[in-house]
Amino acid sequence: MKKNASHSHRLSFLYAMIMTVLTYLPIFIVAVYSFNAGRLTSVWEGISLDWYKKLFSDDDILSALGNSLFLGIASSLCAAILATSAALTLPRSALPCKKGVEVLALAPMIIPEIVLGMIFLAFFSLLGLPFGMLTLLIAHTAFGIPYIYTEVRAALVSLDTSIPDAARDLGAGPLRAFFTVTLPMLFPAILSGMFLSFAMSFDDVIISIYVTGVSVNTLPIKVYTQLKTGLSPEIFALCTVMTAVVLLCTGTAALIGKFRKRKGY
Amino acid sequence: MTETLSDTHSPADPILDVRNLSKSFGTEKTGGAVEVLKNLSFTVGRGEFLTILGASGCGKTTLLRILCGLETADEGTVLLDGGDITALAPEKRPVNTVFQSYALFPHMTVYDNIAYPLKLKHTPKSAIRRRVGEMLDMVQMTGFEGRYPAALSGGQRQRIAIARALIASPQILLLDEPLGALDFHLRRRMQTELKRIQRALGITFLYITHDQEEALNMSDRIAIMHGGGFLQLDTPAVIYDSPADTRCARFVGESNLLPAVFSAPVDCDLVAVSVGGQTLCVRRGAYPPDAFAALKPGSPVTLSVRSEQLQLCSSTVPADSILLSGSVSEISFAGGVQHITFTPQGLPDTSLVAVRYGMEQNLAPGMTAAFSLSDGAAALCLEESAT
Amino acid sequence: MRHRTRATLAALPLYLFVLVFVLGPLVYMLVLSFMTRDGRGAAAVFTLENYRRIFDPVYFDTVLQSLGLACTSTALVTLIGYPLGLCTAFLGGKWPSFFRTAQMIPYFVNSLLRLVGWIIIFRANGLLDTVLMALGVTEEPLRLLYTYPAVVVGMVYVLLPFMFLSVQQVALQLDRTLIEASRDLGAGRVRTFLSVILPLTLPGLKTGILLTFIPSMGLFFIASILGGSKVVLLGSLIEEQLMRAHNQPFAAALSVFMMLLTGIISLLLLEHKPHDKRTDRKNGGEKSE
Repeated sequence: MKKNASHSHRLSFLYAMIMTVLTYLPIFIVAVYSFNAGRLTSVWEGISLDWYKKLFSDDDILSALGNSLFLGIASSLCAAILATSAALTLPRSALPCKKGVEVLALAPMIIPEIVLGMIFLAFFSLLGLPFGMLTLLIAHTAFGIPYIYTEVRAALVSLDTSIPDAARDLGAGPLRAFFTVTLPMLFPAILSGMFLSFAMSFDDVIISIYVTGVSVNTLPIKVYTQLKTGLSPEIFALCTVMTAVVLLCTGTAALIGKFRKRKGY
Repeated sequence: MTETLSDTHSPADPILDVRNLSKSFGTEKTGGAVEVLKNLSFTVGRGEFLTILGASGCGKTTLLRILCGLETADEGTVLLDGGDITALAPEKRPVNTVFQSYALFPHMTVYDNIAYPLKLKHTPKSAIRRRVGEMLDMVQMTGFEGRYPAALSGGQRQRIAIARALIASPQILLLDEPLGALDFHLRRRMQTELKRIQRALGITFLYITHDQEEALNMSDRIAIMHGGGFLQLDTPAVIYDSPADTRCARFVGESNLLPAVFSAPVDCDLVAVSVGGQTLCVRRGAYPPDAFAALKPGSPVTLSVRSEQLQLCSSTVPADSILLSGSVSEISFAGGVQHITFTPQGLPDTSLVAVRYGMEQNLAPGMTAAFSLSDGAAALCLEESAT
Repeated sequence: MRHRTRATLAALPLYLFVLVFVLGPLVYMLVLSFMTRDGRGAAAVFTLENYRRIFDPVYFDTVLQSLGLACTSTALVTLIGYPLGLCTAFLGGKWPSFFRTAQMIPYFVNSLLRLVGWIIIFRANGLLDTVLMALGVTEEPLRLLYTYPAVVVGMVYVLLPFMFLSVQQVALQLDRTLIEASRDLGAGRVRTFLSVILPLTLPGLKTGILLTFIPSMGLFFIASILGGSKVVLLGSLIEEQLMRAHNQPFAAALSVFMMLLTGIISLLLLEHKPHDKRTDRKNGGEKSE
């Protein structure tokens, strides 16, 4: 029995490792080729950092990157404010059809992106809104809300209500109690939701293509349009850089997690 | 229910005056309204340690929440030091609470937790530092300023919660079963601590618990709460010796309830009753006046007898006493004290517990024993169905 | 009473936002689908033509191909992801979270960029061809790029994490002693799997299928990058009708149709987990403060 157990243990591990390697394979290949001096992937012309230099001096890509970062952060923030305030107060409010609105708020998470893109495009043109950062912001906020809403809701269920009560009892008005006690306790959930919302926004291709204006490019859009005309090694460099950034962020998040464990909440 | 409450020690100049408090929860949707507080009125004296003793569901937590402002009553008024605070928001009341779960802010250090009420009042930093130091000293937790609640034990969190609630010198401190989560020894120690702190600061404490020993140990007065009202509000001694009704008797101490027949009043304090044919003088105690007025010779009454008042004796009856003898059903030894349970002759449905000191083992279940009960020891006790 | 007005005010922003920017577009889409095309826009003339057109062979073929691709991708993702989720969960210790993080990191790198690697591998005389020819397996370049299989690989690659995470989460909550009990009572490995492990991890499997199937019909960019014009999805069809043919009503009808499809499939999948519904109701009861 024991021999079997470790046998299957080793098999499981092997399978998991193989799949992990396969997952990283394309990225790894791209990274390797990003250092290729030549353009063609079929010919290796020696190591070079040219493409990285080109990447960091390509204004188009850099401005698209800037747009994506701004869009991601701004839409996460808007979504966080809207979702958190409503998650806390909607059940107690006097508004009609609360359950229905809740379902609608979560809907963008399950509606296919292409459909979302389409309906936003049609609706925005109906309203006559100028296509650009504004429409991008509205659309990204809309599909960011579900992530934060669900996280905050879940955190609220396990929140000890006597703690905000204690703040009121000790002399804090309702707003004061909220900002000094309730909100800090909800921070982990809000941040986690914002992180997901940012990731979704940063990665979004389909919806962004539809609701953006001619002059505004997000990073995924820029990459997509470039890919349609053919491969360019700049893209390889971009991919490698982004992987490095994600690795860095994940590492930092893990360290923060360890630090928070010492504080105990 | 509380109109005929005999309150023999009502304070003359109360700090808290609660009048006709009523509160119901629920609507038709949730299965009908439930009356949690029924026309409750009482007063609390300055510097008094008042304990509200009751089982879960009696309404004590609701009462506490109304007093601290987190709930509003449907009817009634709450006067604090003469001023009407009934509609006042919790943060504006000079009343602070120690919650059952301590409710310490997890994201703040011990120092910030305790300093919170003063920071809200914009107290200067140096004053805050001094006061926090004093509070930590008072609860014997100096040196814990930088710790987070997660790193503290239950008893330590308890003391920080107390320090935090007292730092702003509230006029009344409400404590909601604060010692419930602590183990036996720690609880005993904290009871002494709390009493000491209360005496030192002179602040009025309103203490809620279901533990009768705790209530007897710490309180100046005890209010026995049941079904949204007070059954009896008096000093521990009076409640122990003269419980108003059988529910109160069962709540505090061992309840020995002896059926008897009313004969006649003897003087303003004593009445004569007949117990199994023998005549005995008993105290009127806290028997409700209107029920007393309805008593006629021959009416059945119940007597409350404390265990230590049943004295083991030989078959001769001492003067001014009656003899209760019967078959012993159980003897339990608890380190120097024996609890003897016996059934008196002629009263087959009654079970009485007597106390004897010493470890002498000359009695055993099945044997017959005789106990004496002197005049003036027992008290009249209203028979109430235990709803 | 003050509480309610304050709460109402605080909830109002989201309430209004959702009504305007989620309900509005959805309603408009529905309305559009019944309108008639008018040049580049739409005229308010009621018609069912748009819905009828969906069933024209030209378009319906695309629908069937989309469904086919979705089914294939989902099947492959299940085949690869389900065992992966179980394996990593049963390894114990820090391994589940290690593999979870390992799978998540590439996910946060833009999906487009990750597909670039596959382009390099698949293109004619690309990496795969070079390796295969060097090993002597094939003599001519396979030209896998712009083929159906390439799109399937791309889909599986992008959607695998969803299945893997759902299954792993459920598998981690599985009570191991149940497996031990089953073995103790005499069931072999296969029997234990079929009667203990599979039924208990089914909810995770269902969630994974849902999270794989629904996107796979709409991720047209994978199809267009790896499949070119050879592989057309329902999503690509909507894109084409909207952006190039400028036929808003038809695109709307296609979208409604797509949502109906995904809705029905979701309901079918969710119908079969009665025990989950019960726990949902228990966990969903919230405090009314």
